[in-house]
Amino acid sequence: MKKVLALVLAAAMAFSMVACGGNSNSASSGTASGSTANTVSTADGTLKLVLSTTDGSSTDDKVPTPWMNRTLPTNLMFRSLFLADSTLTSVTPDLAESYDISEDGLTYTIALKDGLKWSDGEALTADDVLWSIDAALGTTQVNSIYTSAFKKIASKSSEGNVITLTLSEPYSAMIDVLAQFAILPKHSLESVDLMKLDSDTTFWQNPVTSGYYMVDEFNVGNYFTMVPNPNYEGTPAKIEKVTVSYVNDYLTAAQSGIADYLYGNATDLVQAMQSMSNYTATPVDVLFYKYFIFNMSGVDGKQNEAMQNVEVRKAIMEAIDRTTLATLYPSANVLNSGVPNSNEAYNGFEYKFDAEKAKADIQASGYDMSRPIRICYYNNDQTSIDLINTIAFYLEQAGLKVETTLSNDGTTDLFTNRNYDIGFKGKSSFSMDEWYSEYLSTDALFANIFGGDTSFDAAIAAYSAATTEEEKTAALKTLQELEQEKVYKVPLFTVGTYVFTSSNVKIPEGVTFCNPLYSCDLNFANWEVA
Amino acid sequence: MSNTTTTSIKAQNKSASSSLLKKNIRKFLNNKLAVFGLIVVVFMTLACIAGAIFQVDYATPNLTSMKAAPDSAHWFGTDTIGRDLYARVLFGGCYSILIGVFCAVLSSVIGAVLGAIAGYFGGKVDAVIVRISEVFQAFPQLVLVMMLVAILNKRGLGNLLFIFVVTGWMTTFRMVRNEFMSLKGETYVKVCEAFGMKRSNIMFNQILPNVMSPIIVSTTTNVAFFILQEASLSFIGLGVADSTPTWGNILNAAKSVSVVTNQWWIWVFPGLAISLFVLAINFLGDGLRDVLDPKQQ
Amino acid sequence: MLKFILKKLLMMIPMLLVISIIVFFGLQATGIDPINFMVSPEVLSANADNVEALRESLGLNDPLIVQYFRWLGNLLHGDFGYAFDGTSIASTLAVRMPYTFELAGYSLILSAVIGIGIGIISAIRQNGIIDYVGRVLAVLGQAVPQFLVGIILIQIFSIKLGWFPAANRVSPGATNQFLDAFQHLFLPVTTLTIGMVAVLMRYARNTMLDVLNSDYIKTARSKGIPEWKVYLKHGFRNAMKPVLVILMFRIPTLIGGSVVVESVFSYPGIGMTMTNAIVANDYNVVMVTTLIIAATMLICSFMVDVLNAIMDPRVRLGE
Repeated sequence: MKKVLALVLAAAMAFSMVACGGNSNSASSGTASGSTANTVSTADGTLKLVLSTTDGSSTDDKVPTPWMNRTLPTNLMFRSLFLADSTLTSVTPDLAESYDISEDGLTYTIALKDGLKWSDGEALTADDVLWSIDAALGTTQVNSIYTSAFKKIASKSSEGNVITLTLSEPYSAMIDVLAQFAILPKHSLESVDLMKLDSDTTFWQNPVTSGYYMVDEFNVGNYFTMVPNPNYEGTPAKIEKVTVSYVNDYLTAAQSGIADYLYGNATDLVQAMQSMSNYTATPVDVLFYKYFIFNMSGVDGKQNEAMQNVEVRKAIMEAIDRTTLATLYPSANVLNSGVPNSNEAYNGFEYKFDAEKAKADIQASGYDMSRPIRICYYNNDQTSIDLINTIAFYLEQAGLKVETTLSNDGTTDLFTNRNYDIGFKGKSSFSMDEWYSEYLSTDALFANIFGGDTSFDAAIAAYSAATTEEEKTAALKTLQELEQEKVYKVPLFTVGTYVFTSSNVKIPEGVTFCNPLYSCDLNFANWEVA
Repeated sequence: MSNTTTTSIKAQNKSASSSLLKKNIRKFLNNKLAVFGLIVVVFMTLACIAGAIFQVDYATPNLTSMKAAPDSAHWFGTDTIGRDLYARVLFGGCYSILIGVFCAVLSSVIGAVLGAIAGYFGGKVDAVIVRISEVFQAFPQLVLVMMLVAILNKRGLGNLLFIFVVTGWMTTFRMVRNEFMSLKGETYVKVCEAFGMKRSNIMFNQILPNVMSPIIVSTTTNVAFFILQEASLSFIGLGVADSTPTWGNILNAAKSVSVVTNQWWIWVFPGLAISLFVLAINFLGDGLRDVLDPKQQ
Repeated sequence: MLKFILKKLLMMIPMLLVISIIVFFGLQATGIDPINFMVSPEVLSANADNVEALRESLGLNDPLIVQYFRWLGNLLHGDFGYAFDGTSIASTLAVRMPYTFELAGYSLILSAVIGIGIGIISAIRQNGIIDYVGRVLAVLGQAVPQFLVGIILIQIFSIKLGWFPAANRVSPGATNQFLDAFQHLFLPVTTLTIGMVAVLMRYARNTMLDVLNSDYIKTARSKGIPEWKVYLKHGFRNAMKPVLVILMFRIPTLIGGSVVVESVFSYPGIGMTMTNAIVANDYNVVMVTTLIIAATMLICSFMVDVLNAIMDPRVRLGE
């Protein structure tokens, strides 16, 4: 009798699991309001930010370097020479007072503001700028937009507050890149080994800053807090205190009320955030490419035989229904080159989905059907896994065998061993420039994947040097034709990013968010916390 | 003369053991939870095998019906890319049950053999094997998994099976060893030794059958342990490759908070499948223990 | 007795050595080149000479056996080395270890109190309501995967009710440290405890039942000693011994569980450090954390042996 009772109890418990799921489903709006109450009750004039410890960009024992991604917490601490607008292509002075570019586009003269100071009271000088440029070229954790731009600087000098940069060839995006490049304090960092610049915890747990804030308290593994930088020369921010927590999941952070600002492009995050009434979702125009890289050959001539035939590569693209795949993301746009379809420079070419044709083409190409296509992918979030599984399904429909592997070794996995045929990557691009510069025969990374092919070099140089819209469009057309002919890397689509701000934060009128991994003018001084 | 006595003893033994068997079966049937466990385990296993035999379609994504709630077409709804969850849970069951049963049986065999050797021979042999078992016990499973993944460059089913077996034999080993240590002093063992019976014969044919009951019980509960372990490893991202639908991999969707809040069916069904199966195995194990090994309750 | 303890302690040294050898050479066999992590690929191909110099200065060109002994020597000097990103492992551990010990320690205490408590009540009131409910809950706690329990707890208590934080160990600006610690530890400790309690409960119940049915308890009762005294003085004390041993045996499970629980709750302990290091192939960190976990396990099994020896002198003589 009692055993029957126990049995019933067990069953009841088991079903309460279902009930729990059901409840949380029906109460999803309640969830939102629940956390509103929570955040309001704890709001005390503090802006609450979060950093993710699972996307590989930051670890919970230091402020992340602003030289990789420019996230909001670091943007509030480090400034650049210029401040970009939301398009990232038009700048206003920041640390710099003014700048001047010579007729030939080779000489940049930049004057710094007078009396700039670091948060520790030391003067911020032209020396810091020059040191930062050198350091960025010598360190490891640095975004390639800086290195590829700074490599073009043939000589640099300073005289008082005036910096002169001389380029070896014209580079139209130089000012835009400088607007992203955070200047770091030479006096605190020059004794640090450049190889370990981003991981020197003595500095990065209490960095000397140039922006609105500096670190107040750093609690390893949990959070850091920021207070106003007393030496900031501009209008101080209205918000008196900022906390930055390290979390492994943005959505949980938002739902439990510890994030006033966050961003993302994964469907589940965006959908869940949009359903929370106390958050405002703002779609942001970014160039976030999701793309395939075909593993071709190294500069050493080591080839990946299976992918050499361009017909195979084309057939693979035909086999994948990218339009349907795009529905996995909240706002993805299929594109066929580095140039978005909506851009005037788009040349109209299309990789059309045609399962039957793909099947025939792959057979005609002479590909050994018993050999599996090996795909490696980098991201471990559910949407990426879903995407890869669907791609594998499409390729299997075309009669291919597929092996997918989660790689944790970055892009280098493709060339350190040529075990993979296709790499699946995501790239939040600063501009189309960044997409095309990967084709350069001198690109240290991709030279090892595309065999140091020099066919793109001239066209890329033409594009970097182009100053007028016509020149740019023409250069882009050439580049598109080249890449569609070579089929080394193929974009699947670009994904739209969203920025979410909680109702705790009052953002002034007229602020337009930019790509959240870069820095732009958000009129932060006038942000207010409820 | 001697011939007839042996047969009569054998016959007696036979009738005695058959009545013991009957008694045990009756005892087992009286334990409602154990019977419930047995029924659930058999039913779920058969359902999963049937799913595999009839080749239910667990792999075809359908992006037009992603995250569809359960209905008549999809009993358990569809997952994040529109695959039928019912089929996936069935197919995943095959893999998970395979992992559980294979690892439990093999690790019990290894544990029993090593335990028998260590317990019977004692001395140096025993000391060495005990040390080895302690080294393995101290080793975090995660690290072994990671080393294999890195060396083989693959997150395969084989890796997982290998690691579970390698790191799972110690409990059975300890138990069997202790039993052997106490049993080897018994008179019948001494008699066998005096008759000059081969040691392997004594160990495996004479002593081991007396230890079978606890081994069977611990093997049963280990099945549950390995199934749960697989799910944990998948959750950390070190389990079998995502393309293989184990229960752990299916349940991985629960990593996404929005799935947990908004699409309960995606995680509740695989979660229920794991929990129900593990629960049933544990009940079954308890029942078997009652019957086979009354002193160890 | 002292000799026994000493002998057991000395035995741990060769075992740790064996483990360190397996970890070191096993991870070397993975063929991971730390240089690939320390230096960006651009630098890698641009300055082959510098990279070679770095490799030489790190001693990566020495024979493996030399590298092994250097690593071991450094460990013995308290130099735990550096993670691939250059942070000192010792300082990482100094912060994370206490967090994990806190998590595991509270779970151990809580599960012992609850498990043994309910187990004993179940034994005394055998087949009573508490007995049945307790047993069913225990079996259920064992059947649901631990990470799922954690996720469900977060859903209910952090998101829906907003009672407890869903992540981290310390909140910014916490004024009451005790309250803050309680809030952050409550859910992860509960998750771990749910998994642990079942076995203890069952064990405590069974040993207590054995003891209560034993002759000396019957004698005690027949002498007219009050019932509660019988339970407490004779029953409890004798039932505790094997339960304590089992408790020690559960510690490895606890540590394994905390790896999962830390990752569910973004709890900055050593388990998360290890998981992250494994995912990032940072084998310097993996080696040290593995050794530390192994050493903890060995110490636990040492304590089990000692406890056993104290309670049962035959064990000592047998060795």
